Amino acid sequence: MTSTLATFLSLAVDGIAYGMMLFLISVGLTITLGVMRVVNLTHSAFAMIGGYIALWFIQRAGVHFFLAVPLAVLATMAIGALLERTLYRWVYGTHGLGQLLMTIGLTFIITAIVKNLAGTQLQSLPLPPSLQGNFSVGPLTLSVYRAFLIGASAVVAFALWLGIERTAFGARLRAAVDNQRMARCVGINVPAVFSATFAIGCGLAAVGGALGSPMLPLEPYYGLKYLVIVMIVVAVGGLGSLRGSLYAALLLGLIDTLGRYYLPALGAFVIYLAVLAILLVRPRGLVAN
Amino acid sequence: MRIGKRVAGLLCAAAAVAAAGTAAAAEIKVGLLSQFSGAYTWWGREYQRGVDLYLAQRGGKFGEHTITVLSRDEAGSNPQRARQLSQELVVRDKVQYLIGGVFTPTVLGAVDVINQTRTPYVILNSGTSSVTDKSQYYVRAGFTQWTVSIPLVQWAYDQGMKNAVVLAADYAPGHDALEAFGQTFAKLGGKVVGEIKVPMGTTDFSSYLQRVRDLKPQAVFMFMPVGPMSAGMIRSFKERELDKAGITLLVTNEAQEEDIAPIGDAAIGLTSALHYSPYLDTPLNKEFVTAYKAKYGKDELPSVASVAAYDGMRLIEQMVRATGGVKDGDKAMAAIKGYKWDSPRGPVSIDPRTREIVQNVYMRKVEKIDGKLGNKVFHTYPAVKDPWHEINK
Repeated sequence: MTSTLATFLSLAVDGIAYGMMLFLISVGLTITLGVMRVVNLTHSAFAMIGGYIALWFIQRAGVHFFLAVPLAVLATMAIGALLERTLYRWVYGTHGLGQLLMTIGLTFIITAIVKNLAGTQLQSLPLPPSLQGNFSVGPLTLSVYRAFLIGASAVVAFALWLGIERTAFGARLRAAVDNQRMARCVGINVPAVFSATFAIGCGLAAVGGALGSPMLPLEPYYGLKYLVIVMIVVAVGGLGSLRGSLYAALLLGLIDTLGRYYLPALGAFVIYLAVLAILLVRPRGLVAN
Repeated sequence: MRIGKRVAGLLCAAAAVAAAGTAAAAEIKVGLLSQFSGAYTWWGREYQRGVDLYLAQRGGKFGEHTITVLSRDEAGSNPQRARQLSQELVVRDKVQYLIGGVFTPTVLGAVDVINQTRTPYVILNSGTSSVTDKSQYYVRAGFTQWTVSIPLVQWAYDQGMKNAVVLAADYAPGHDALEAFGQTFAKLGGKVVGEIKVPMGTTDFSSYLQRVRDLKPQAVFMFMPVGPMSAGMIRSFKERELDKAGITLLVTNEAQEEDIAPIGDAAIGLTSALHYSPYLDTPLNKEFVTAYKAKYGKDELPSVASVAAYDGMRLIEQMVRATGGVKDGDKAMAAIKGYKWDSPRGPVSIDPRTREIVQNVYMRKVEKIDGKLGNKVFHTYPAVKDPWHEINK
């Protein structure tokens, strides 16, 4: 009996860790898609860029994991900001289809570039010894890396909530999105706010791409392959809702992990059934704006 | 515009001269089918390298005949496209031999073309045993999943592992592996305590490994498409310390040097059965590895794919010699039935009945060799015939 419970609990922890990783990787899209209203299908490609840059720092420059990840996030933010200034600004005004075509095209380009630079083989960030192995809590054996992932995501989630709800920048961003003209009138530099927000979205993707690489390994097709799961999290959470993203990511991570164990015949399909069920009941997502 | 026309005219003239030149020389064309784009580009590179290395060592000639290789991209697992490419190669480009094929469906895509035109097709990959039954013109220079699975199970049983979980990706070759592992293990007297089918595209293995932990087997036989799934699974197995819980993970193709490098030190100790290792300690293999490195770079290592292509070209050389350079599929096939030679992978021969390659299967363990992760051979099963054909006579 206790072993059944232990199995359930360790699955639950695994599910939460997986969910938190999904949150990290998709919350940036919640911001760009939901808050800025840009259909950014390049989002998971930015996650991949972050992962590859972190990997480059670790393998080629010999930088420590805990320094490589923030450096990669900054680098990805810079790339994001540059693309925002040069490409994205042209599609802000267009309809959703224009944004969709531009961003999916950009994803193909990034895929091709990464393929040529890094090769097609799979890569994953080598974890430092401090993140490897397991620890025991009573009858449970938990992975150190997964516990770290849960902690890191919680910090990111809290920082985001603070940043958007409690800071002047957050207030400006909300104003700029709600009514651009009015925001300009009160002296908000709307393009600058947009650039910064977009860069933050890309940086968040990079955190997810780098920290999540043991679960979603890096490869040139990453941007297309994991776009679906990222979109699912945003859709189930509710467009633009940070809280919704968190709930959706956790819920889907748990359902996926538990489903694969208890309903092996349905395997990976459980998550799609869950998405279908949730969206039937709440078509606008868990937390509708 | 005018300059453009002039250039075009020059090119046409040059092409005509080139065509006239080649027509005069004795030229035999070989069509190489592989993956040169997309996620499986590695196969294209390795095939091309094996083929080029063999040709370079022969000065581009088999006897007095000049060999030209036409490479074509199968572009994914697309049987229709494979059929069209093989047809173009054989009918329009007049190739005398086909070599390559990465996936079972793409190899089978060419079956009508080779049957109707009597064109020998040297299969370099596709682990499905029944493929060679589909045409008299198929000959295998790679391996089958059964050939490497059976020795792996045998070895585990001999080590005292009496209960095991079979864990395979949920697709056709995975089901073959489940059958091959499970049947053999049960026949030896072992007990399969669990069969786990992992959906394609899975990257988080926590649930499946939890199941393994709960089933407490002595061994896990694993089969997955080499790539995200296999690497993720091996790494998670180590991370979850299932090895420390006394469970041995046993694999076949998944431990290749190219794939264990990104897994890192977590791969150390991984046991596998395969018909080749670049660290195989024979003079012939050392020579082969040296030649490969000299041509492609000192950090590069040959693989099962480049060895298959290298041996495949040897089969074609044998066929060319037997037919005197004239296209005769039946005579060519007759010449390689029972043909024996020494390959970098060890002594091999072509089974005259099934046209399967008979070869050694090696038990290997991942170690750090000269600072790099590599597979060290510690036991040899000599001259293994494809077991599926032996069972289904």
